[in-house]
Amino acid sequence: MSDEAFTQAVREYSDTVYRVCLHICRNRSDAEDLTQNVFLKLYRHAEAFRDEEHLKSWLIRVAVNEGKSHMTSPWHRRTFCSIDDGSLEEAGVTFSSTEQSELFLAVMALPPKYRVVVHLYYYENYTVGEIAAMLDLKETTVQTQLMRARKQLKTLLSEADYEF
Amino acid sequence: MNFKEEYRSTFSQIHASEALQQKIMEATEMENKTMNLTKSKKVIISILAAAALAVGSALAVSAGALNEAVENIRLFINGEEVSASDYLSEDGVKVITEDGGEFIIYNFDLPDGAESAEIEMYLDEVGEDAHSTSVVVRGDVNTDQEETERAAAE
Repeated sequence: MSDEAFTQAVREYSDTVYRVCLHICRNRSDAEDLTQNVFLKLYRHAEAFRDEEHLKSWLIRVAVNEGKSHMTSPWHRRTFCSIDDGSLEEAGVTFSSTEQSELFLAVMALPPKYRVVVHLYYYENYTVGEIAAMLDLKETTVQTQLMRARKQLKTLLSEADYEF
Repeated sequence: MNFKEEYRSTFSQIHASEALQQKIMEATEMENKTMNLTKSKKVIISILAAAALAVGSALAVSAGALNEAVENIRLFINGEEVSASDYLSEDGVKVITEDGGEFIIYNFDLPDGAESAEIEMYLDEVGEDAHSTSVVVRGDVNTDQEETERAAAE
């Protein structure tokens, strides 16, 4: 990848990668480190991408894998067990409304594997089939995770009365 | 309220900071510099005695990275680039262990009247281990020790 193409990819997809990483580790510092690792991998990646969508899905897949490795590392488990609670402060975010803060915290309260699937489905607009292919899961697994995530979110956000 | 719309509205407020983007670019610049540094390593083989240059003389090269780099060797003799394949035949490059490779130089001609020569080997695409690459003349691994000894005596 040329330096120009790489710079463009950072501009275009750093938000996407960062959001995925934040969904996995729930704190800004780790999400930034993971994002940097993902783009370093892109920089070292020798093979060409078919198109923009191929590049984007590759970045998301690498982000998820990096996140999984990070979350299961002994260092992470030893260091972050006490503060890994997905607070707004840890995530380094503020929102314009209480509803949005509550939605964020509800999503962050989901089990890790549900958070990524929910994000890819509701934010990135990927289909169940696309998510399954990207995360190397069965479509039925993705459907089940989405269903269970919605159920938990309905409970956590019962006052907002969302249509899912 | 539509969950999807509210979700998108919420998470669209989260961005990778400009500082992070800058950090990524700096990290890749550093990576680029490191890659360039490790791309070209210079290994100097000093031939100390003419005897070591007899037909079939062997040079033992102590460097982990050399094994991966044998295809990328550029060979300089007395400052002039020569075709490595003339000196390092397929049979002449032998992998011993991960600690080193063995190069057997065939038919190496010293400049007229010279008792020693310097061979420089430039290795491309090798790892950081090449920093500590050292080369020693090891006559005792000569496949044709008798001939070397005879050449030395002469």
